Amino acid sequence: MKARRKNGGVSLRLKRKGIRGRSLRGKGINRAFGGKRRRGPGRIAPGQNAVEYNQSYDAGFDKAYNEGFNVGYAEGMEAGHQEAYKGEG
Amino acid sequence: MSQISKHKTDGYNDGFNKGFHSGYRDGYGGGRHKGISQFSNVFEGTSIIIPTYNQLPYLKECIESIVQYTDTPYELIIIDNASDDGTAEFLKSSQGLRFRINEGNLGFAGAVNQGLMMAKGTTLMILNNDSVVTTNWLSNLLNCLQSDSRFGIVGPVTNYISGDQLIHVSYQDIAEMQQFSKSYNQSNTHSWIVTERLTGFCMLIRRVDFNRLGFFDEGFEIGNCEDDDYGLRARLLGMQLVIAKDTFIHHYGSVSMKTLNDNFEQVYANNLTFYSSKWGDPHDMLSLKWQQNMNSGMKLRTIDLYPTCIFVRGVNTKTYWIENGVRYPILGASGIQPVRVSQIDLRCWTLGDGISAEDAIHRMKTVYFSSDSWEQEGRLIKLKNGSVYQYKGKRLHRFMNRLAIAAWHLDSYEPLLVNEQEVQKYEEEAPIISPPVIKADNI
Repeated sequence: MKARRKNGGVSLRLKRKGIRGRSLRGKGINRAFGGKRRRGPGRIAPGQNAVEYNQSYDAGFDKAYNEGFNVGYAEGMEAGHQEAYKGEG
Repeated sequence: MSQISKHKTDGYNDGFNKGFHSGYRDGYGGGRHKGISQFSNVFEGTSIIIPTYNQLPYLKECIESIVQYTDTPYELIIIDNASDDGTAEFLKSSQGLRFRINEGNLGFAGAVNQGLMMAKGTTLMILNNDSVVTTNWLSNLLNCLQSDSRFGIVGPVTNYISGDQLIHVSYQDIAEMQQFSKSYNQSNTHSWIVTERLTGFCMLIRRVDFNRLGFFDEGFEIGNCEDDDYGLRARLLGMQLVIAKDTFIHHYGSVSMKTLNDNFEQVYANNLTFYSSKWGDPHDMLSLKWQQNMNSGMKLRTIDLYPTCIFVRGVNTKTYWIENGVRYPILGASGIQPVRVSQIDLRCWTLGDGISAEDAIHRMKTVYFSSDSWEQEGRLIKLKNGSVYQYKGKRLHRFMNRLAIAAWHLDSYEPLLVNEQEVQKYEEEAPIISPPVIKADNI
């Protein structure tokens, strides 16, 4: 599969569908580069600062993704159970 | 802060926020699907349901004791009644337990009902948050419950409780209590005592019996008396209440109720009034012949104590006409005010074909206003002594009291006055009771 290119020709990592417990990198559409271009004065130009930003972004994303997945999964289970409970039977 | 470290921090925070939401979204969909597809699957084990309100240290001690002293399969379900002491944060950060955080204080009955709705175990344990469990506690209670199909609800003895479950103990601290319990909790069939009352601080019931019995009555405020009501309803269905005197657990006692201070007495008084309005003197009714003559293999359900020819609804807005043990969905808008019953009760009636609102109302008028013989399904009759009966399944069922008649919206129909001689050929049957009040919009 060919990687999409945009925003200065920087290649994006392919998006992977989330699997419980796996790390998922490269989904950050607000990354400094390689994703949706940030607008306004906060934009970071490619360079050392952006590398630092992106590495940290990925680290934060990975950690939170699994946490969010597990919370969402548990809450989804309860919501699904509740939904089925309301069924006519 | 240097520019680079600021970028690092910003990047981490941005990634964290984005990652959490992204993961949550992905997880939620999968979880929801699993929750739906596995709804009817239960696990061979016990769902331990703990309602809690603002007593986090007690809750933690309770949970730790369960983890340490439970040697049979279980799941933990904590229902928080909108505590403001950090309980919600504790639950969210805990692993291996299920929980629900209510938006308001639903009281003991309301919280327990949420847990019962969530539970997946083949047996269900209701446990106070200020309990500390002990060696063999659950296996002993399970031994007792499973030993006799007539045993409906089983509870242990403890150091702080009203009634026959109280025993006197001399331990000075929790460590000594655990030592005491280790020698005390030796399973012994001779220590299982059938009783008339079990307190709700620790109750074990089979799922199949819960499905017959239904939820706690949410008409009881905050706490007290709802357990007496539940036990009484169980006994009406022929279930025995049993004290397993071979099982001791520690109970600090009323830690949530004590925070009510002056309101405690008022809540208790209100609940006593509600209880009396439902049951009057329940012991008179329980000594009636109908129960003594009940076939031991007969498994009554709570809906067998409900009237027939009524309009009800469950958790959804759909209205049903109930007749001959069948619920007929009413098609289209009807303007009828149905009686709210739990979804558990609703499902006990067989689902029939839909009928139009006009047909249902016509049927209702035929039942309650016909001038034909009173011996027809659904007809209400009254004796000179004031007792009101309904003719149901070719038998006569007496309404417990005026509240029961009103609760089913039947008080606007005038029962036919009948001489006592005319009803003498009928034996006294199971009474008609008012349904438990359901305030939650999801059970």
